[in-house]
Amino acid sequence: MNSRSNVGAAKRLMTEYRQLVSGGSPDGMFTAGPISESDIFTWEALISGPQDTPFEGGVFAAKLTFPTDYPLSPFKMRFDPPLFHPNIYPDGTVCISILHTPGDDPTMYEQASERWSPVQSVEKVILSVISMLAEPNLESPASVDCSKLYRDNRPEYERRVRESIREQLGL
Amino acid sequence: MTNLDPALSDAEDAPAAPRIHSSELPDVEDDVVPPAPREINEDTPLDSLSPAEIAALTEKMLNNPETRTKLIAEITPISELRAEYLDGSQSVVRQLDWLHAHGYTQFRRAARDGNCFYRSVAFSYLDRLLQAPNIPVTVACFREVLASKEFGLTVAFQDEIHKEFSEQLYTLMQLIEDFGIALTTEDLLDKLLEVSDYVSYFFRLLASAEIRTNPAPYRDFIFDQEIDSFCKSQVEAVDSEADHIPMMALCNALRITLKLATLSSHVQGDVQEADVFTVISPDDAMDKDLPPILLLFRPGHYDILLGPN
Repeated sequence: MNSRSNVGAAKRLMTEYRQLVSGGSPDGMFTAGPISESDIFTWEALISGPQDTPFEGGVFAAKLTFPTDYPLSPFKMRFDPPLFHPNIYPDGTVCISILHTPGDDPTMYEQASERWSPVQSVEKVILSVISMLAEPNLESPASVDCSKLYRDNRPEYERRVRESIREQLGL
Repeated sequence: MTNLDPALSDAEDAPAAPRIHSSELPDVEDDVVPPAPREINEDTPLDSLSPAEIAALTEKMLNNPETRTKLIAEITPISELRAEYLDGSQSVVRQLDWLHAHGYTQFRRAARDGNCFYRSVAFSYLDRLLQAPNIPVTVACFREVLASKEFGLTVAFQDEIHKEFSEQLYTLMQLIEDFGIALTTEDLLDKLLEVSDYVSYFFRLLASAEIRTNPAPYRDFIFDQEIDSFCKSQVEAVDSEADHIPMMALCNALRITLKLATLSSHVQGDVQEADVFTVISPDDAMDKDLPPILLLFRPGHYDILLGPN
């Protein structure tokens, strides 16, 4: 069963990759694909910071790690280098309901939000992450420091985000 | 940029989750860093595990094919189940006795992983093709019904994504058509178990598409939830258990008859057939000349019941 599922996962990932390559992402907001031809289960995504947010102008790299039973189970997404954001753990791992299965709810605040299901896709998840960059969800903070700053001192939060983007760009 | 985030569009028509005001968040020390997901191995002290980590480990164990029991087990005498209830509910024992006396003497256990209903139906659905008097005609008939669902599935789910899951079912049906009775039920079971996660998921999509495209019969039974959010959380989510709504929807979609034996601990006195069996039979069922799909239901779990030969 493992080997068969594995074939299913590889096939799905090829299909998704092909669609992303041929169709591109809406408004060219991101690109995503396998890092190397030898491993279809590890992807890199490059996401451009959404307009009219402190992330505007930045380009963020994230590693996507797929399980062998994808799409029955969701993938994991980790920004490298980590992003300063209320819903991103200090190590860069993204905490978003759409990447959790219904039984897996670390913060217990996500009951009513959209969950992972095999009809989701890399594209849908990344679009949700882009929305999350623009509108953090303070109900499930992954970075408490950042959530607190976002809540108490928005201008300083925005300044720190912009500063980190300039650093990443080497300015 | 409209409707970019499905979670956001949901929030507008679904009842809002209880929200805490951010101003009510407790103050925390600046040096408190929440634990990032970490690698857990046999050297990790057990008492250092957070509830979230324990939940994640449990989930992982339940999902590991090597640690979970056989997804659909071999034929077992129903007396084995009776023995488990001897010290428990006598009402269940009497119902098992009734089943035994009426020729329902055997069953197959299904794994308790949230997919037991869909996987059990998938197995019985295919096994009945093998038992049909005229296999090619019956396969053709089943295929025709499935083909008629393509439109609804395409409307409900983008990009014909359902085909990724239906493909495995069609392959098994082709196998049945090609080999006919040379294929035994156990061969079929082995083949199904290689791909049963996919076939079960396709049955979920069928049930969900049925509810989404023809909501009238189901709407009044869905409380406090919009159709879309019900389908997403209760049908399309991989581990969600099936209650009577997806059950009805799946029977209506596949046009199949389901006979469900419910073991209840509340039956008083003599057991009657009506206490045990519930029959779900769509008016347009296409399997009226075949024995119905038989499932054995105990609260929270479905197994496969074998009928009198």
